[in-house]
Order: sequence, then C-alpha cells, then structure tokens
Amino acid sequence: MALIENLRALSLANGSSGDEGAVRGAILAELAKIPDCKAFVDGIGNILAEKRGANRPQNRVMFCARMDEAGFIVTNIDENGFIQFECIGKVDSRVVIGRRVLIGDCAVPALVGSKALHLLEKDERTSPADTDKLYFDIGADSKEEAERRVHIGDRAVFEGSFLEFGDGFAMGKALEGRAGCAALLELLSAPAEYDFYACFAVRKEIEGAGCGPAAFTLAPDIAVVVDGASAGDIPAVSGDKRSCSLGKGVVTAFKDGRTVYDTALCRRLSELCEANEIPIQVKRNLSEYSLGEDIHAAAGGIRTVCAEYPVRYARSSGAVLKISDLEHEVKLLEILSMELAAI
Amino acid sequence: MDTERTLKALCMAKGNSGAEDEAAAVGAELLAPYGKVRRDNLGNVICEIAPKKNGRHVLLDAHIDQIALIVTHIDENGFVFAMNCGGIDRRSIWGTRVTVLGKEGEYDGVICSVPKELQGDGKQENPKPEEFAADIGFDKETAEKLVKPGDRVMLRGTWQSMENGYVTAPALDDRAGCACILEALELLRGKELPCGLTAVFSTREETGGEGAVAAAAAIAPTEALEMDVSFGKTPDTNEVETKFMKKGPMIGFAPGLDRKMSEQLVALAQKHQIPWQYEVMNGTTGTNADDMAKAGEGIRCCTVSIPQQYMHTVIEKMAVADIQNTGKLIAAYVMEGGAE
Repeated sequence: MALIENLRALSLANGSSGDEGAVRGAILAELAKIPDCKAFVDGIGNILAEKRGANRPQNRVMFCARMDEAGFIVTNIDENGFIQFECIGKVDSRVVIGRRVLIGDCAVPALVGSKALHLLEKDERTSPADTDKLYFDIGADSKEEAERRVHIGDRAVFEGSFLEFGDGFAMGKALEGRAGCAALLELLSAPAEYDFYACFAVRKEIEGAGCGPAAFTLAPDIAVVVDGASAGDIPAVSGDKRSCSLGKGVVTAFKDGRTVYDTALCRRLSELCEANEIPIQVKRNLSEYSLGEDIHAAAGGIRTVCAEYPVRYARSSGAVLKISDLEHEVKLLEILSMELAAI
Repeated sequence: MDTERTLKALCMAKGNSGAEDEAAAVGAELLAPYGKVRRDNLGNVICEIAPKKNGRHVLLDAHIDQIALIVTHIDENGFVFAMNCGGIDRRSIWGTRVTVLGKEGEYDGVICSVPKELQGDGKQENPKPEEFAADIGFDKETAEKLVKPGDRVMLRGTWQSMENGYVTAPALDDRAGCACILEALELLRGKELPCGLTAVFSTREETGGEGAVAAAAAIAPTEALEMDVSFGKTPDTNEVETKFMKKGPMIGFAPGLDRKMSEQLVALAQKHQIPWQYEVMNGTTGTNADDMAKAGEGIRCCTVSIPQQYMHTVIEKMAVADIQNTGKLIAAYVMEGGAE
C-alpha cells in the first residue's frame, strides 16, 4: 500500500530543520510520478505543488505538511574525539541517552554516550541530564581522526528503524511530521475534482516554519494544517495534557499557541467528518506552536483550519501512530479538497 | 577464534537473569569443543576442561545473563508495565525499543516517553522502575491474553562493528567476559594443562550473583578468576573511577580479592607483554568474585575486568583487542599461575 510504503521511506529519510534535502528529494521523486501535478522548490527549500483538477475552484486551497524532524547540530570535537552537540527542536535528554544517531551527509553512525549509571551521583540519577553534557561517540581514538569524518556544524538525526507492530500501529522516527507528507502524497495521487495546492514545508521544529513564505507565494484563500498532534494517551500524562488519543481519528483545534484557527472552517470540518463517518477529536493541549501560526498571518491573512493526526512520543527515535488514523486523515483531506474549493 | 563472530553470536541471544536459556544454549555450543558441558539447577553452563590435578583447580567465570525488565501488570489502556530485572539506567530507558517475550510469541514495542509539550510544570525526574511502561500496540484485553506478569521484556539494540576495532551491542555485559574465556580456551587447546580447569557461564549475576556462588560451591576450585566488564573512560568521568579503552585488562586489587593472585597476574602480563591496567577497589568489586570468595570453604578470587563504555545501556561499547588480551592473560594464568 502506497501510504505505508511512503510512510516507511519518509520516516527513514534523514532531515532535521534546515537540512531537509534528502526528504525533499524523496518527495520530489514521488511527485514526479503523479499525473496533473507540478512542483517547484522555493528559496528556503519548501516544495510547492499544484494539482490540476477537473474544475477551477472558487477558493484557492493550500494543504500544508512539513518535512523536517528534530535532530542535533555538532558544536565541538574534544581532544579525545568525542563530539559535543546541541539539540535542534525540543528534544528531551531522556530519549537521547543510549540511542544511536547518524551524523552528516555521510550518515556516520554514532552512539549517544554518558557515564555509566553506577558512577552517577544521587542527584544525577533522579534529575534528567542536560543534553549539553552528552556527546556522540563514533569510535574515534583522537580529535584528528574524528575531524576527518565529522565537522562542526554537521547535523545529526536519530538512526531510523520503521516497524509495523501490535494492532495496526507503526513506529519510527520523524513520523510526527512525515506522516503528513505521506498523507499529502496520497491526496495528490488521486484524481482531483478541483485544483488545489500542497506545501511540504521546512523548519517547523525550530518554530520558524517555512510555510509562511509558501503561503505568501501561493496566496491561498484557505489553508489546511496537516501535521502531527502530540497524543497524550500514555502513562504519566494527566489532565489537558492527555490532549488527544491514537485510534480516535483525526484531530482538530480552535487554537494552538499563537494561532487562532478560523472558527467557521473548524465547524465545517467537524460537520464534514460527521457526515462522512470520519472519527474526529478536538485536542486539549493548546499551547504549542503550529504551522498555522506562520500561515494565517501571511499574505494579508489566510483563513486556516487544523486537520491533524495523533502521534505518540514525538521527537524520539520511536514515534508511534495508528495507521487507521492516518487513513482517516487521507479521507478527510480528499473531502476537504472538494468541499473547501466551493465553500 | 573469530572474536567478533563469537561475540556477536553471544550478544544477539536473549538471556535475562533467571531466564537465560537462549543465551546459555549459544554459550554451551561455543564451549562444547573444549570439554564436557552441563547445566546445573540454576541454569549455569559448566564446562569441565580438565579434572582436578595436583590439588590445583582453576575456575574461570563470566556471567551469561543480561539486564532486562520483568512484567508486573497491564494497565487499562494496554500498556505493559515492567520493572527492572538488573540495574537499568533511568536516564536512558525512555524510547528504548523492546521485545516482550510472551509464552506464545514475541511482541515488539517501545518504552513510553513523554514529549516536552505534555510534561507538567513541576521539576522533571527520571522515570522510576514502577513507571517503566512498554507500548506494544494492543488494547488491555488483547495484551492480557498475550502477555503475563513475569514475562521478560528485552531491551533491543544493534550489533555494530565500529571503526578502530570497537564493537557496540546490548549484552556485551557480560557476554564479552564469556568471549574472553573462549579466547583463553582456544589458546589452551591441545596443551597439557598443569591443573584442573572448569569454565562457568553463570546465571543471575545482574540480580545478585547466585548462579556463580552455587557453581563455585559445587566445583570447589582452589582459585577463581572473574571476567566481567568494568568502566571505560568517557569525557564525563575521571581516571580514578574509570580506566582506558584498548589499554588491556584491568587487574583487580581489592580487600576481598586474593593479593597474591593480583600480583601474579601483573607479573604474567609483564612477562608476556600483555597490556594491563590497575583496577583498585576499596571494598567489594561489584562482580561475582565478591560472593564466590565466600562459597563452600572459601575460594581465592581475583577479577580480570574488561573496559567498557556505556554500561547497562543498549549501546555498550568495547574494544576487541581488550577482549583478546584478557583471553591471553587468563590463559597464561592457567598455565603458569597458582599462588600456593
């Protein structure tokens, strides 16, 4: 099935914010196979695609996913060849220690080290480590040797491994964003009723998403955010932080961080889900940055609506989603591409 | 012997404390060319290479078990709660790929983590063992059919032969010690031994060391060498608490170890030009040697430890040369050692 195959390939592609080249290449290759679809890359690396439908729409509609993932940037190489780094995006040190990463364009495998637990002081055992105290180990025995393979400024990402498991679940790095890219590819592949636009944006994790310039360029009347919503249906999360759940369908919101979505469009989206038997949930954690923030303030203001999908364990080596949720997402996007064109 | 191949076979086998069968079977197969192999009541893999001779009998021990989790319960949403079975690094458990070993099948999953945007406002703490939960993608009803309390949860990692003669894998602690013993036995193959010799791949070290005690009491050697991993230098440690990678086996000096054995190991390393390092401990050693010394009528013990980085994670890292040099040193000890 193309959706899962694309999900797998995109999860395994490496691209932290500002370094999305490999992901962009994979998406462009897929877009090239799709009929009635033209794509180009803008100045900061966004892919803008135009799908020709059977009819011209009343409203220009843009669907926006994002290509980047959280990662790391090399800041220093010490005298013994250990490599210091900073995180790109809000990565918790507790999902970093003991993981494997790939550094730079040559994907040099590295271990994320820290001293053995037996040597920790009491406070170190209980308090999460600062990520700036951790280091990458590529097996170099000297600074010179490490410098031959890794350079300051090189980017790194978690080593990927994609897995379907349990009762229809998928696990992999970067699923929080790439699942949206896979859903958009699915949408673009089908014959369209009306023309529409798709944006595969750069740089979401640093909260400076490329979708603002994309929205400026395409100047749509309506924008749809197609991104992962952080699912809180996991142990040790309570109250509003439980936010949304896997297996309960697509996710919408009336607000996200500094984004206020278009209320009428939100209501319309809910009605369409109900009419088409697509399960939908309204998320409860409303304080986060969203792609909508940069879109809705672009080009004189753009009516924006949130059509996300739930993902657990974002920004870790093993994010988890339920495949049925993503299938519902694709179905919703297909309906929106018809309904919003003439709303 | 192809050290890396042996090591990989040992590391890829699953064997948590008290449930070592798969790893023990691999160990038994690797020991078979050197002597008669049996397993005792606690599952220890015991290989008698030479019967007791001239009163001297050497026991070589390394432990075959590895750290893992043990299932305690399944919550209302199907998450599998599992506590540590051995010392787990609370800082690195989140996001670890796991496989739950059910009676009927194996189920892949991941240890739940909480992304920053879903964390509460209070001070963050590393997860406690009673909070470790695996997401295996089943609802409560299904999960309860597949997984039972007491099942083990293996922490998955990748075997990789790295640059510069390093390897990384889960369970190098202490399959690397087993590989050292196999290295030594290969060096001793065909030689007439001056003493009795038994090799033990012992069980249950990570949960207390009962396997080695039971085996040592039954074998009643005159002396025992313990090959376990110890701390290799990392940027965040000093040179007292850790020793260097690739600088050879760490010979133990400690109150609970036999001083003459320690000194004889140093002399043999010097004589055979095997790189070595001091490992001085002011109390117990944290290895099977501590309790083996008290087994039966009491056994003279010494540790020959192998430097390892990132102990008790799924990215444990070691140098193949250190394993080979440890094998050489213990072979020399079998042939020429034996403090009276």
